[in-house]
Amino acid sequence: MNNYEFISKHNITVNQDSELQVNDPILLHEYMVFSDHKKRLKFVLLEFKNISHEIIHQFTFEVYEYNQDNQLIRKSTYGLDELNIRKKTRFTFPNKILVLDDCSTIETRIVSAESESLIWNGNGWESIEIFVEQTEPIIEASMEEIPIEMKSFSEDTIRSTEIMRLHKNEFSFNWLKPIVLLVIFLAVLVIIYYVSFSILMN
Amino acid sequence: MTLDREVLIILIVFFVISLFLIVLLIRVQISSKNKYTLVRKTKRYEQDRILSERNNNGSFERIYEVTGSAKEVIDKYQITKIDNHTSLIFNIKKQVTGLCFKVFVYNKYNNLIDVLLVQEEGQTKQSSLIKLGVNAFLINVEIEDRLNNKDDYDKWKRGRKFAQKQISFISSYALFFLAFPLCFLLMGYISRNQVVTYFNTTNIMMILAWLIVICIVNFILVYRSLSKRMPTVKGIKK
Repeated sequence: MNNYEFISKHNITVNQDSELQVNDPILLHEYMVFSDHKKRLKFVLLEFKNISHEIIHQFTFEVYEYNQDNQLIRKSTYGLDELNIRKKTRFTFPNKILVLDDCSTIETRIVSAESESLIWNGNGWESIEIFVEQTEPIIEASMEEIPIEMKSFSEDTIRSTEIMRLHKNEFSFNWLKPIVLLVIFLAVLVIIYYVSFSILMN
Repeated sequence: MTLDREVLIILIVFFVISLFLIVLLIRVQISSKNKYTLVRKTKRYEQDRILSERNNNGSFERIYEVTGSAKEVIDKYQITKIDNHTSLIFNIKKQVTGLCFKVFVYNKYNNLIDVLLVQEEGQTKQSSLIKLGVNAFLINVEIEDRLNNKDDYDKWKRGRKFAQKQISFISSYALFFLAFPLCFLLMGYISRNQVVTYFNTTNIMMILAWLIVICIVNFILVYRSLSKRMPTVKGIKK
């Protein structure tokens, strides 16, 4: 944490002209920009606000990164599930989001959100049954848009995998173990023999 | 006094069986190594089209487009290296249940350094994060058609476990058949003329019991070491 340097804090004011943003169930409330000196990386921490009347359990959002000339330099998509964001409350996104070095400001747009029985998909809340197929993937980041430190997200959001290493010394074991056991076996017999022999002699 | 002719024949038979089992084990080990060497020799890196690349002070992030037969299912993959931690993630084109694929991992000199079998559970559009070795630089991916569902994969995994158990059993049998004649040989040498009186029924039963304990310990140790040789790494869970 000592490597992190606070750069800036941005409070987001809702643009009343933007109908899309106002209709979003979750809004970006504020974000802070940090830099990591050791890794030479720049990242942001986001705080959202649930402005809907639903308790949100999962949501997906897009992050738009802009440079100093206000040009879009990257767009990425993130998601998080197993949440319990109550209505009209703030929520800090638990992972840091890596941004490009020349990123100066960001914007977010909610792609989808899900409550207990409803799903928001850009066009208001609808019954969840209609969108069952679309809600299966929790994170839907297209490959170009995944930040360099996607690890922190993936650990939270990605489904299970089983990985097995093949071929490398597949059936080889350490022969020393049976040899040591053989020596122990014989040594114990010899010891027992000499002990019993000395007892008999006495 | 010397041992009976029948006993000697039994001991020689035991010794021959143990030698046969040891040879069998060595052959299994050599053949498994040959299989790996064969893959190393025949499997050459097939260049995938690079879509984007970012380098930052030794760390890198590269996105490739799959060009092989796997492109029907997997369209892109990303290799990321940060602080000696290399990881891999796939973009899966169509939703499939129980996707199984092989990942051939190469170093920067295009030498095959690892082969991974990855099994994805559930419907996903993106694979879990797969941790690679430090030297991993390039990969090729191949869909494992034989194991395209969970049942086939489980069956294949059970087969491997069974093979591990068989090898552990064989090593324990080899130990048993080798240790028993060696025990007679050693005790015969130590006890000289009292060898026949030493190997009475009670003593033989005790020796057998002790030997069985040793063989069980050997089975456990060998099985555990084999399991470690073929590690199953649980991926990152939701």
